[in-house]
Amino acid sequence: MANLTNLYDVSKCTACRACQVACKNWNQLPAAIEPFKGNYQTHEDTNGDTYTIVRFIEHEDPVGGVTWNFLKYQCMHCSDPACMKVCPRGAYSKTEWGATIHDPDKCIGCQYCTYACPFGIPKYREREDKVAKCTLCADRVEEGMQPACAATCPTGALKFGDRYELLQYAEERVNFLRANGYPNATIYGKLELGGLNKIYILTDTPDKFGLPVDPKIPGQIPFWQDIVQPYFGWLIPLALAGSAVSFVTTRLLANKHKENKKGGHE
Amino acid sequence: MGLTRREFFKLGGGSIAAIAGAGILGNSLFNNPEAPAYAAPRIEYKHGVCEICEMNCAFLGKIENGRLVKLEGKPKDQHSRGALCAKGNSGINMLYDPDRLKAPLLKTAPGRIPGQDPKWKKISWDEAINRAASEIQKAIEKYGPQSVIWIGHNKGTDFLRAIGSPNNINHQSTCNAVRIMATRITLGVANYVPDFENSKYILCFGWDQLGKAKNSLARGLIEGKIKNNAKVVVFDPRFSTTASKAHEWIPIRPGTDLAVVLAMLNVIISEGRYNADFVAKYVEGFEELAEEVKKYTPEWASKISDVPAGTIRRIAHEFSGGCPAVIPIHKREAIQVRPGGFELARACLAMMAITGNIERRGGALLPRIAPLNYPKPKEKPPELQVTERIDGGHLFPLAVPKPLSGTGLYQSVPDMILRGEPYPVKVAVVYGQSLQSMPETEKWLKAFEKLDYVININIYPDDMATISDLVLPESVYLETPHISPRITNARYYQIAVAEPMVKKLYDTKEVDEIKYLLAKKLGVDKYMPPHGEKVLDYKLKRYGLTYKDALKKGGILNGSQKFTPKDLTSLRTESGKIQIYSPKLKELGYNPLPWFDETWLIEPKADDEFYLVTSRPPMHRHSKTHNMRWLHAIMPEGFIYINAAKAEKLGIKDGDMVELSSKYGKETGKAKLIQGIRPDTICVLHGFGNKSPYIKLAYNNGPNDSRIMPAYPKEVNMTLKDPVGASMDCHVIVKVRKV
Repeated sequence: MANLTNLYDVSKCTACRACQVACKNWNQLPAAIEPFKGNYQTHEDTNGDTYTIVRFIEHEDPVGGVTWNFLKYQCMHCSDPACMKVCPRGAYSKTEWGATIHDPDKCIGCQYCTYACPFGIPKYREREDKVAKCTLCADRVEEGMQPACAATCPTGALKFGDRYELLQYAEERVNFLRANGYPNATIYGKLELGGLNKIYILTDTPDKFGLPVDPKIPGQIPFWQDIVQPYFGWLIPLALAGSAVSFVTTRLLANKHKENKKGGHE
Repeated sequence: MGLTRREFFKLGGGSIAAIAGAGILGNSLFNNPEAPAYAAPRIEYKHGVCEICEMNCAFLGKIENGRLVKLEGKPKDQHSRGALCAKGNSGINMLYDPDRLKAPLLKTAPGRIPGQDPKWKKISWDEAINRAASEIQKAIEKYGPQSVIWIGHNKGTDFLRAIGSPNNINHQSTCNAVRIMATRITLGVANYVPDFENSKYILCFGWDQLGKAKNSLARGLIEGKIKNNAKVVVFDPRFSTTASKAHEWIPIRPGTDLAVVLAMLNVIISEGRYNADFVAKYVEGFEELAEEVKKYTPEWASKISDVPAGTIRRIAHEFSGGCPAVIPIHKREAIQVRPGGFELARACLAMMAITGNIERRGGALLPRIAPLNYPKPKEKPPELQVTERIDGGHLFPLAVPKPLSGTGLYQSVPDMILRGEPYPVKVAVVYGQSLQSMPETEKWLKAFEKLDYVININIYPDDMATISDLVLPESVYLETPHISPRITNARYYQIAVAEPMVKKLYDTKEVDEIKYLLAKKLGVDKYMPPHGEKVLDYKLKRYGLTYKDALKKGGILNGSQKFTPKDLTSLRTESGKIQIYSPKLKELGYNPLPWFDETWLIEPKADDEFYLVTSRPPMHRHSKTHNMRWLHAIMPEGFIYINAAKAEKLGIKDGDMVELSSKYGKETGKAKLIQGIRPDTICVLHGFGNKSPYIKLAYNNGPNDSRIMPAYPKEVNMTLKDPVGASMDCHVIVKVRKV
């Protein structure tokens, strides 16, 4: 399979939230009922039962007037994902075609991934003591279908397909937008973190949409991933061996000490 | 490939088994290499049609071991094109809603207070029908059949005809009556299709179907803008979703769109920018229009509307520049809710007509609605003895050409019930209407209080149910068969056919069956048309197909999708052509041309007074979707938009509780401060404000806009020279105060 990507075009999104509900329906996720925030956006962020949300951003610009932007937010399916690097149980993997998927059977709920992700995506699902996130509908894609969100997008703001082709399309769209009233239009996800399996066509700079302008993986993660994790399997026996050694040695030392004491008394 | 298919399903990507599996495995540290063996689920797909809104998108339902688990739009359906909206996607929430009505309920507590414990007693269908029929019978014997009224979606016509009552009270005067009547006068049809995809100029007056998620209209506008590079201009007091996607947003003074359109007509005609060839061939009444709009100059309109005269001229020039251009009109927005709405709709049609944008690619297309055969009763019912209607519909022959037909004056009913004019009303059957849909709700409640018996046919125990004497549970659309021709926005002839997804979950019935059972008990079933499964084949007979054949063909029957323009000299109008000047209107005593009357205007005077506009969020359909879990989670409560700078002056902060008061009532709700709304205008989201605790999620979900709106008696419509009896819900000034 080619490298597949979900593209999202901000300029076409009407924030109808069909994607949010289709995601719930396909993944059979319960409603996450939260107190009312007095806003169009009740969920401030994704959560263990909500893999995708639409963010609302209102700006008032003295020159451009009022703008009201919408942004669908979910897992970016990084090509080199931080969650995968830090997971001590190897619960994360990349599919051949680009999705970053999480295996709940392997997850131990340690939540390291939730801190490591530069986009704050994996979320703890308390009812199962596990982490959960968007799967890019890997189960649908493997069956030749589109991800549930892309399939249900009424205005075609979401498009799923070959990453290379979608990037070309995105370039065209951005050029068009720049020439038609959006001089700061840009693509997001092409180069960020070495390329994401999620491409955004933005009508303004990423910061205007609350996206990290230059997302980075925290510095210690590569160390963990590249040096410690390969030997993870050895850690438990090593630790066991270490404690056995320390047990024996402390015993020996103690006995010796006792003897000395004894000797001292005598 | 990193993982096999089986493993993917194990990941919880979409199967119940995976979630159950995870539960069994619990917190086990080490992975179980042998996943427990589950029997492969029994999966079926069935053809469905969504009934949450009138678009009726077609979908495939996935049924897993007898349980409906997923709805997926059909790519061949012209409305969904494979993509359902948020409401459509959450259909299973309604089907499996634990709060649904499950059996007929009898109110045993006195009084009609919304949300008060009705002390419901569960009764059998036999008993329910007996009781309902005997109450109707009692009223007919003592006060005549006209004392029985049906309030609801035009579904009671045949029943009322059978018992002999003219009182078909339908909600359309608060909904789309103005658009229907204006389009009928001008084009001889009830609606038109804005051909956004091929348009170059899209001009909207309050139109916001992007913000309300009508899929085919939202998609059309976005495609027109993006694929065809159409310019989108939005006149709206609020920065709506459509405005946020437009090239230009003009924050017009509420209720003055008509002045702007008339001034644009003035510019186009006086500068000779109209399509003379098209006008000569297909337009009737151009000379008269040219004379009438002479007085509506851009300078005049500018003073009224706050839109600079230069802007009006420029947009008129752009619109009449020869490119395909369209003005979409849907329902309430700017059209229905204020005096002069009928004239606004006609003026918009006139503007498209004189620029040659009717039945032309990129303009307004005549709808292509596939006809069906509708069964007739065995015996013709006797002529109605009383033709005078309680809502005064008989006084508006344009809106109500015959008793029981047309649109009527929904909002006039409570006054007439209270006055007992022209005769007393005793029994009401309420179908598909909630207290959120009744402007000046307190007055309606008083009117209901006066009735002897209220029968409510409903899906949910909402606040309408709590004030009714008898509640009859209706089946959900996912449990029943449907044949749905595309009516709204029908670009080409298409019929969608649906089968029940699952067997009825509870002891519920379809409204057609309920009507029939009532008629049978009253001994008038011979006047009722047949209903149920047996009429499905009959409806499709003219196409030489049975209902089963249609399902086998994929549930979608398509006519030709090629655009062949229709003849514009044989329309069903008075002259056969596009009718701008209407002799019929003149004969009825109305102005035959679109016109403007400055007495229609109202203005907030004090600092705490505002114009009212309403909107609807995209994930809710009026008041019927608020107990659907996924939708409720996205928007659990309604709110009131106030301009941020103005709110600061009034000491109102984001999220503060505010009281709205008008001449007609009071309501409280949370304020949401935004930049994108005129300082003199508030916008209330419609459909919220349910007071019944028996639909738990939707209980107390914010302000009900209807409570501060007027319900004008018919005389007001006459004074305002409104030929169609529009409700004019937003013809009100609202005081806002922090509480």
